[in-house]
Order: sequence, then C-alpha cells, then structure tokens
Amino acid sequence: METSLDKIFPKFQEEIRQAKNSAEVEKLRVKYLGRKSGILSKITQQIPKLPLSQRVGMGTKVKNIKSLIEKTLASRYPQQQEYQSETRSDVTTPGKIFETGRIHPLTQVIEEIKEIFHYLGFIWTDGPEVENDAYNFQKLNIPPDHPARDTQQTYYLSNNLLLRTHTSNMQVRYLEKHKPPVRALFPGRVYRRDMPDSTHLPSFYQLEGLLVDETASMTDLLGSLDFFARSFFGKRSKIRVYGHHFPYTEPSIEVEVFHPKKGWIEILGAGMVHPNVLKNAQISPSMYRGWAFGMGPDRLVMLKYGIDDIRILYNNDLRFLNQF
Amino acid sequence: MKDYVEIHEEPTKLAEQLQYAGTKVESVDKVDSDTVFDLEITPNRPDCLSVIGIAREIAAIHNRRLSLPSGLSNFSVGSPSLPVNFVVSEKSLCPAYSVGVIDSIKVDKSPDWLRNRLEKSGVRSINNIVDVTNYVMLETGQPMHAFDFDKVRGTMRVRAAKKDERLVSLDGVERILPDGAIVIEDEEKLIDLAGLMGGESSEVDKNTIRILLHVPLYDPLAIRCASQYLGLRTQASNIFEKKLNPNANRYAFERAAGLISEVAQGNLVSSIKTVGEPTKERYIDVPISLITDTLGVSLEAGEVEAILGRLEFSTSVQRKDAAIFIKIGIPLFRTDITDPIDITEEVGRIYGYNKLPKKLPIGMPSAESLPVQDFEKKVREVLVSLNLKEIYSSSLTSTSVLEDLDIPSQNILRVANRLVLDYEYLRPTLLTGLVTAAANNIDNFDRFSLFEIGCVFAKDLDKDRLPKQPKKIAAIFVTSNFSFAKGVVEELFRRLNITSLRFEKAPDQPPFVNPLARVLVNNSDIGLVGKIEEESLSKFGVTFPTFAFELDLETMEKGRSSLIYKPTPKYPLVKEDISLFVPKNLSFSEVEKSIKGGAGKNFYSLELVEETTVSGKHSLLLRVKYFDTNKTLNSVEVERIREKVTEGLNNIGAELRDS
Repeated sequence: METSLDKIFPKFQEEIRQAKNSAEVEKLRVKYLGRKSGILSKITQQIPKLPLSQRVGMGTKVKNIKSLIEKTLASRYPQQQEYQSETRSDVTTPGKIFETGRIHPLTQVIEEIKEIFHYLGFIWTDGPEVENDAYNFQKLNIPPDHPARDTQQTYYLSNNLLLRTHTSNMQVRYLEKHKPPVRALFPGRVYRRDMPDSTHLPSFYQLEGLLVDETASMTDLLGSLDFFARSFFGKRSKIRVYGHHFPYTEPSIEVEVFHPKKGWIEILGAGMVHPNVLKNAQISPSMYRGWAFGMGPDRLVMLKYGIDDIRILYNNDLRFLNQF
Repeated sequence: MKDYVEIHEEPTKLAEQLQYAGTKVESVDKVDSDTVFDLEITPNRPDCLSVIGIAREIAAIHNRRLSLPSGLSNFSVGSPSLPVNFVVSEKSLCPAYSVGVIDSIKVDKSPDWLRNRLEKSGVRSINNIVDVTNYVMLETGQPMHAFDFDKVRGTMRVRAAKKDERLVSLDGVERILPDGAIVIEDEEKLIDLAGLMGGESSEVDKNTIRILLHVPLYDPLAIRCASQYLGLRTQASNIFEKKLNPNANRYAFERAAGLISEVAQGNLVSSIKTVGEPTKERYIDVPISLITDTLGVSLEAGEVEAILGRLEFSTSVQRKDAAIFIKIGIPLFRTDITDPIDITEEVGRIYGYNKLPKKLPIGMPSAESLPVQDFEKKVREVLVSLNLKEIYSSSLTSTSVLEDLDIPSQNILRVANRLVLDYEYLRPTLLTGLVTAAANNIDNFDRFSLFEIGCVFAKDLDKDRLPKQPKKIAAIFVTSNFSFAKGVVEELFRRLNITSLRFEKAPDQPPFVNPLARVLVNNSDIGLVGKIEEESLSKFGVTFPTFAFELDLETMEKGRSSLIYKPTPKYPLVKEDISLFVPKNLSFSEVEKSIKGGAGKNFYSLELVEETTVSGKHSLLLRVKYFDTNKTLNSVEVERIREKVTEGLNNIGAELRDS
C-alpha cells in the first residue's frame, strides 16, 4: 500500500504532461481527486480498514500528495489558481465591479409604456420624421395658416416638407393602411423650433396612442389613461381631466396625473378623434369612432428619476447612463 | 369680473373650475385688493379673449346670470353733423364695421379706475381715448382704433397694401409692408396698418378734439400673414386673426362711445355707420345619441338642453323616427361651433369630464404581428450584453460637426428656418451623435463603447415621395481595434440569426478610413465597419484609436432566418492547432474556405488564436476542431483529414510552420 502511494504522484505527473487540453486535465483531476471515486478518495476510504501499524501516517501522506496534485493542476489552470489563492477575510471589502451595457432610460420608459398598453391590446410602429404638410397638419384638420400652427413651432425643409411636430402624423398614415378595429402606439422623435433650455429641445420624443372601433367613447379613453397612470406611477395615482382644444380631436382634453410625491402633473393631451380626421383616412365617422392621446416620454423619464433638465437625457454622459 | 357675473368662489377654486371647463388658468395673483387671472385661451375661442367671454363661461359653469353693460344711451347726434367718408375698396378685407365721429373730446389722462384695470391687465395707460379703445377690446373682445379726425385728409379708404409700401406706425418704426396687408389711407398717405397698429400721422394726442372711431372685422388671414411677415404681434392682431363674431362691432362701438362721453366728455357728431350683413343665428341638428355615445354616458335630452342653455345655445328637441335630435341655435359669438361633434365637447366640458365613469375598452383588435420595434429591442439586448451603452443624440446637427467629420454639407438635408446653429442639418449618419457623445466622455473615461438606434436622412426620395429616412444601428468603440468592432457585428448577427454575413474591403469613405469593410447580407450592402479617421477625431478631443459601425436595421431584419438547432456532437471533438505562414495577398476567408473544404463533413469549427508577424512573414495560429456524427475519430482517420487540409492549404500558398 505504501509503495503504491509513492507511485501516485509520479504517475500523475507523467499523465498530465500528456494531457492535450483542459478537458483532459479535468479528467485527470477527477481521476485523482474526485470526491467519490478518485484514487486518493478511495485510499482515504480504506484507511480505517487497515491494520493500525499501516494506518499511522497514511492520512498525512495522502494529504501531501493531494496538495502536490492540486498545485500541479493549478499551474495548468492559472485562472483557477487566482480564485483559489484568494485570502481575503474582511467581508466588508467590496466585491468585484462588473461593467455591463446599459439601456438608455428613455428606452426603458418607452418600453414600459408599450408594455402597459400592450396589456390593453395595443401594438406599435413608427413612421417618417420628415413629413409632408398634409399628414402633419392638413389631414388633422389644421389647414394652412390656421392659428393652431402657431402653437407648434415648425421646422420646414421646403414649402411642403417639414419635421413632424407631433407623432399624430401617424394617425391618418396608420388608418390608411389598417382598417378598424385599431389599437396602436406610435412612439417616435418629433421636432419643434424652440430654443434649447432645461425644458425644451428642438428634437425630443413623443408617444401617440390611437384606438378606433365601433364603440369608442370618452369613458374608455379615461379608463385607459387612468389604467396607465396607476400602472406607471403606482396604485395611488389617478387622473383628472380638463377641457382643452386640439383641431384633430373633438372633444379635446388635457390630463393630469397624480404623482405620489409631486402632486398633480400635466402629462398628456387627448380626445376623441375628430370625424374629419377619420374621413381623411377614408374611414366612415358614422360607423366608427376613435380616441387618441399624446404624451412626452422624456418628461416621464424626468419625473420618474427626478431629472430636472431635459438636456441631460441627450448629452450621453456615461456617469449618467451608467446609473440605469 | 364681478360687474358681469356673481362670483362666490375663492379665486383658486374659480381657477380650477374654469380649467376643468377648458379655460386654462396659468396663474392667479393677488394685486392690491384685486386678484388677477392669467389665462391661456385656445385659438378656437376668440370669444374668450375678453372679460365678458370669461364671465359667460363662469355663468355657464354655475348656471348664473350674465349682465352686460349697456351700449350708448344717447344716440342724438350733436351739431354740426359731420359726414363720415369711409370706404372699403375690397369687401373681403373688411366685411363689417362700425364707424362714427366723436367731437369735443378732452384728451387727458384716464380716471384711476380705468388706468387701474388696464394696468392690471398688462396694458399701459396712454390717454383717456386710447385707453377706452383698449378697455373695450379687453371687455368685449372686439378691437378698434381711434383716428384724430382733423389729421385725416378727405375720404378714408381700406385697401390691400402693395408690396414695399411704407408706413410709420405708432411706435415710430417705419415698416415696409408685404403685399396684401390691410391698410387705411386718406387722400394723401397711408394712415393705419389695419388690425396691427395705427399710423403715427393720425395718432390721437393731447390736442385732439375730434376722433373717428373705427370698429372693424378684418380678413383673419390677411392680418395673420401681415403679422407674421412683419414679426409684429399685438393684442389686436391676435384677436383679428381669429374668426370673430361678425355682429360684435356695433355693440363695441356704442360701448366705447358711451365710455368716451363718460371719461372725455365727447359726443357723437355723426350717425354711426354700420356696414356688413347682419348675420343670423345658425342652426345644427345633433342626434342625442352622438353626444351620449361619444361621451360614453347616458343623458336625457332635458339635461343636454339645460347645459346648452347655460352656454346661450337655443335648443328644441325633435324626433325623427326613433332618433331624438336637438335642433341647436348657435350664438353668434361661438364661431368655433360648426359640426355636431362640437356640441359633444360643449356638453362634456360643462357636464364635467371628471364625472364620467372610467372603463377599459372592451374586446380585442384583430391580432397582428408586432412590427419593427421588437427587432430593435432584440438588437438592444444583444448590444447591451456586449457591454455597449445606449445613447440618444440629436438628429439635427451643425455644419461644424459635419465639417469635422469631413462630410460635405452641401449634400445634406437641412431645415430652411434654422433657429440655432447646432440644430440645422439632418444627420446623414448616426456617427455625428456618437462621436459627439464620445467627445463628451473623453475627459472621464478612456475606454468605452456606445450605440444608438435612430433615423438618418438623405436627399433622395422614397416611394412616398419623402426623403429617405432609414433606421440605422450604429456603435462607436473608443480605444479599440478592428477585430473588436467586427467581433461585435459578428456576434450581433449570430444572435439575430442573420446567416449570410460577409465583409468586403471598401475604399475610404468619410469619416471612416482603413481598415474599413463593407458589411454585406445576402450580397446587399447594409453598412460599414471601420476606423474613424484620427484627424477628424482629434477635432473632438478623442485621440485613442476609435472604431465604429453603422448598419441598416430594416435590411438586417429582412436577413433574419429562424434558428434551427444544430445537434451537439455525440462523439468527442478532435482539436488541432495549425500554425501557418500565409502570403500577404492571401485572405483569411480563403484560408478558412480551404480548411473547410479539406475537412469536409468532419469540419466542426475554426478559431483564429493568434495573428503575428515572424521574421517578416505573416503568421496565423488556428484552432480547428474535427468531429464525426457517427463515431469517435481514430488516429488514422484524423491523420487522413489532416493530410487533406494540409494539401489544400499548400495549394493556396499557405505554408505550415513546423513548431
């Protein structure tokens, strides 16, 4: 028994020299150190059965061989060695720092809104940012020189081409290609000719929602927005509604949500799709009604994370991005 | 306000009620013993651009009585009676007006109550005559203008301006007028920029004794165009450019004349000439079901009538077959009400939107597959797992960013009405934003990778006759190399199951330089991966080797195939390390092809372990794995495969290294 013990390590050394890859090294580890059927484990199991004279010192010898084998194995696996040599005993020292990719908070909020409305059967798509006057204005009941255009500072590329001022351009575009019943969200980039400051940027995001079917009404518009408020801001949230005016919805409303910490905040405009808009999309207003709403995801991001300057969202400082 | 309607509510309560009904209150401020409301009036409600308009809203909300001040009590014309010589050359420019002359006025400063009310409304007090015209405008929503009658020569004429005519307005500025602006001239000169600002030459001053008071209705479009052209917006133009009550001018004239005699002792010395067809109340038939279905609440005809009555609509219920209609007479000041649907808003806002029950929409729309953005989500997931950070940058960029990236700006789409230099050109590539974002971080980080998904823009038109604006995915790798950037593209495509990916060497193309590769999927060009030119980068303060890629999202999505699981090998893999010297003109893809061909069905995988130059020769260390689906390869078989592979490599000029 003793002699065979002495041969174990030289035999191991010979075998590990021939090992071609990590798998073979691993096989050797199992062969010698395996907990159940490893050579050393088997010897250890037999120790109690041996006569006392032979038993003396066996344990120590096995232990020494084990440690030699471990060291040799470790030299073949430098990485493992690194882990094994960890001597830290202060559990308050920080763990390893992992650098991972990050999703921009604006995407996260848009995804969250999509998920909430997906539950109500909404799908989503995007459309052109360079838009013609017809879809951005005229088909939405805003003829040329309508005073409502004043409230939407518009960037023009030419007389007819402009940068869309709202995602409402998708209302008629979408309805021309999809017949009711329709439930869709249109998140996307919009543009206003504004001086950049802490609450304005020339290009920012908007998210439009559109439902058209035979029974649409203000009550299910309000119910859906209330559902959204409670899903997004928490169960204690609720909405309240003001009369307003948009040329493409009638009646038009503005909606405030109750933010548990900040109180009432105006976050969206909405209303029943104006019959003229349905007509412009070749949908009969006597058969169908619809509702639409528009909200600013940038503003929701700012509210959600306590950000006070919209420019932070588009500056892309990693010290900001790495927080999300 | 309390002169017109009873108010029992606290100001903040009143503000809230107005707001619920659609008149937004921006602020409520205590001024002396008074409270000043700052209101935002939507463009459809010019009638609310007045104290009476708001009082009417309050009366409707609370079902109270609106009391209006009386017009002129004494119509007797003093002597001598003066003729009014006032002509409108083109009726559409000024379809209705009232005009008259007031004599024996004493121009002075206004009494305190008048000054006080004007100043609290944000209007500067000038003299009692001008103040009355402004006061009545604020009160009734009908602007007007007083001319010094003795400064006017002969007949006054309203006409359209000819291009480049000049007029010095009340503020002393000489204005060059656009074609079509409405002007008033006398026999010698232009005396008024109608609807916008009076002319200096006919200004009422302290010596004025007789005035001609003109209360017009102008063509809203002409006023709006002139206002925009001149960059001049006045309280009057803001009102005139909207659709006003065509019959309001007479009452406003009388009210002003009455006040003038009260504060400036003037008396009317002409008849009041009122021109324009008296417009009658319009009627629309509204089915009650339209109101109740749209609002989603059941209302009796009586309730609807009561609400409309409070808003001064006349109503009568009619039955046609089973349907109940309400014939509704629209008051003249409600020029915004044209369609039956407009009535639902009136009922809704006074009934109270917050009283409506909240329900979720019933049923489900027809099932449709989720469109492109789920693909975007997948792309984001993969890139994030590869340690890239997502950014959002501006899609409008500046000449200087384009120049720094060596992109000629003459081919780039731009806005025609730039406001800020930084936001002028529509980005032709996402790199404008990515490089800027890299620059923003270079002081704090020396190694990072960023990506963005968004549209880029080109001048050529798509099938909808809009400029092409495809969605792209682009990334930038600061302190990196080609292999890293390419590795990310390859991993992205693997994870998205886009199989027919190929890279081809491409000529330099700003802002990319060598090594630069075109990325192809199914042989169509979908983008580039390469190094960003150092000279360009240094202009952004980035001096580390930086690589980037930009790929077309839509073509990528089309190139996707479904993932079919490849059985994991049942028998052990045989690993071989092959060390090669390869001639300079031999590409890796040719080496790869040769090895795959040589190993045939036994090929499992190929990995580049190391690429070095040994004594001037290009050397590759490759790890190849062979397998067999049916058995464990024995040494004889492995030897046979090895021979074939070696032979193939020799044939293409690669030389096996001995070591």
